[in-house]
Amino acid sequence: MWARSLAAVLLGLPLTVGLIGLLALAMPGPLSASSLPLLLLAFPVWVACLSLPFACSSAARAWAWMGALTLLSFGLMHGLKWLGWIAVRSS
Amino acid sequence: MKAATLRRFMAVHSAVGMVTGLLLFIAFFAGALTLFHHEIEHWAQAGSAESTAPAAAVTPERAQRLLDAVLAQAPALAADLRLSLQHEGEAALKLSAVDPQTRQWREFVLDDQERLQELPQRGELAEFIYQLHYTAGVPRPWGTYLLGVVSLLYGLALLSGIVIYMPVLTRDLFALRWGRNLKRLWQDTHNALGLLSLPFHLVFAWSGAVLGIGTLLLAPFQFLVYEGRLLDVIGPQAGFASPVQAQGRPAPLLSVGELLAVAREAAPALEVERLHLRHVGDAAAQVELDGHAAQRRLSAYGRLTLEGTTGRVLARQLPQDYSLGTAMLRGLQSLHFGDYAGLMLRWVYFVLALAAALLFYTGNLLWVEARRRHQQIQQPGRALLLARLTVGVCLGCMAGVLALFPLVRLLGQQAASAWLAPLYFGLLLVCVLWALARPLARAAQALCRLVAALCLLLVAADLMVLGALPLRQAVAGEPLLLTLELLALAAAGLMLRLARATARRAQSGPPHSVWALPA
Repeated sequence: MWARSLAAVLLGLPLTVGLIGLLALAMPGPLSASSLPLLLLAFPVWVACLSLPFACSSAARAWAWMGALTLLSFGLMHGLKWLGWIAVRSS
Repeated sequence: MKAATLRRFMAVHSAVGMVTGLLLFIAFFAGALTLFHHEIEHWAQAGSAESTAPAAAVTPERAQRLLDAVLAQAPALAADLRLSLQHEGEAALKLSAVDPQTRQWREFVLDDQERLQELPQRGELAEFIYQLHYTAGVPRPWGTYLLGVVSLLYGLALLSGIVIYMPVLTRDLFALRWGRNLKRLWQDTHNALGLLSLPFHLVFAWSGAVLGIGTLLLAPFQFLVYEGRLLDVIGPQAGFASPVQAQGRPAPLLSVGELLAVAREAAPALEVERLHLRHVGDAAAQVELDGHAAQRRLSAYGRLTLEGTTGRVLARQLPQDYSLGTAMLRGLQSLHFGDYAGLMLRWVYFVLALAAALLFYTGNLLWVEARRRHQQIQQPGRALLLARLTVGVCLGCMAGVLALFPLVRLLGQQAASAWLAPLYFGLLLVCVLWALARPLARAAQALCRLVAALCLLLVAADLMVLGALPLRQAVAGEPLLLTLELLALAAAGLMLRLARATARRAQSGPPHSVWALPA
């Protein structure tokens, strides 16, 4: 349980930020329309991420899943930013 | 779902519940009372000079005189002032500002002879209970952050609770099995309370987290996702005041009357309650007027930002043109404060909040009950410790808060203000120590009786100081004081019954329990 709890505490927030951030930037329409709703949804998503490790069958799998998803979301976000497909425009 | 997964979620539910349960109890108990913040203020002022003097009408001219008088006396406050025309629906003219030197709030009013009066800094009863609600008594801002994190964990407790309960939901929902198996009864009560008020809990976990740590959560997004431009993107929608730079060029501000006239023109539906003035006397002056718009929406909050010297409208936020994000944020806030449907709704919230407090209490005691050793007198130490803490903190918090009422009634609001915090924390500490040191059943009984006695003391103090005033007011159609007294009497009766039930279980209940008295 301790290894899983540690995964929840350490990776829960980064995974939330990665998922919500990717979704906010990739959502069609102006950034200002989707950002605040998604940021408010970050809390339920965070709670879901906190519970994710406890749904995995072993602590190693929990760490692998959470870590991989976090890396994937940030990787995609930065990759798409680099390609110029998504960007932070403040209007 | 596999049994192992269910067991893990059970462990998560217990652990999170134990860590957050006591703080949530305090937040919900104080929150239930805070729903009647305004009524408690009225109760505290009843019979004093403040309540008998009729409030002078609030006109733009008087507001202007107050503003001018404050600026003449304390020109340093011109950078950031708040002029409030109403207080919770009642006309009340007041100017407040943070002194840039001391960083303390200062408040000013005009008295009957139109002279400027600075209000003494006072901790009021209703305000103390409100702060207890959102900080649990921990100094700000840490208390607010703490309760924000607690709200997040509360969300996790709800989610894990649903996961555990899912498999038996359809079978057990309306079952309340009275009988010899006490754990079964506690379990049924806990499940029924939790599931039937789940929408209420989801709203409070979500809105509590948003209000407590919402601004903190912006930081990772600001730096990791939005490249430092998050506030440009969401600031206006979230209602953050954008910083205003003084130009250093003097220019007269429009008068309060003119500003209000501009607001009536630009937003006829908005009833202005407060003006937030920044850089008064500077060419860059800005004024935010906010209040409620008479529109049937979940949140009726509206705000208008004007250029201070010309009255040009810079921004307008009214319920009808909220963006999705603003509607969600304001909606969550309205759902949290319960201010969208009048007095009846607040009573519903009151009952739900007390039921929630009971849910956390039963949750902890359920954990204790589940660890009962049925064959031996000696009970596990962890269970005994949690039972003691639960009893001490929950009943101690109730006793501490309830003791403040007779104190305020006997000494008067002014004299009592310095004693609110010492009395609350002192009593809480004594109750916790008492529950830790005494045989648990005796301590629980004593604390229930203490809470009941404090309720009776409230009524006695009211009778002593106010005499027949509550009755006279009730006859005249103002039942506030009488309602509070009757509520206190009912609470006293309930606590005495609880004390009796505890005594019964200690004597004739099963001896293999933390609640049994050693023979």
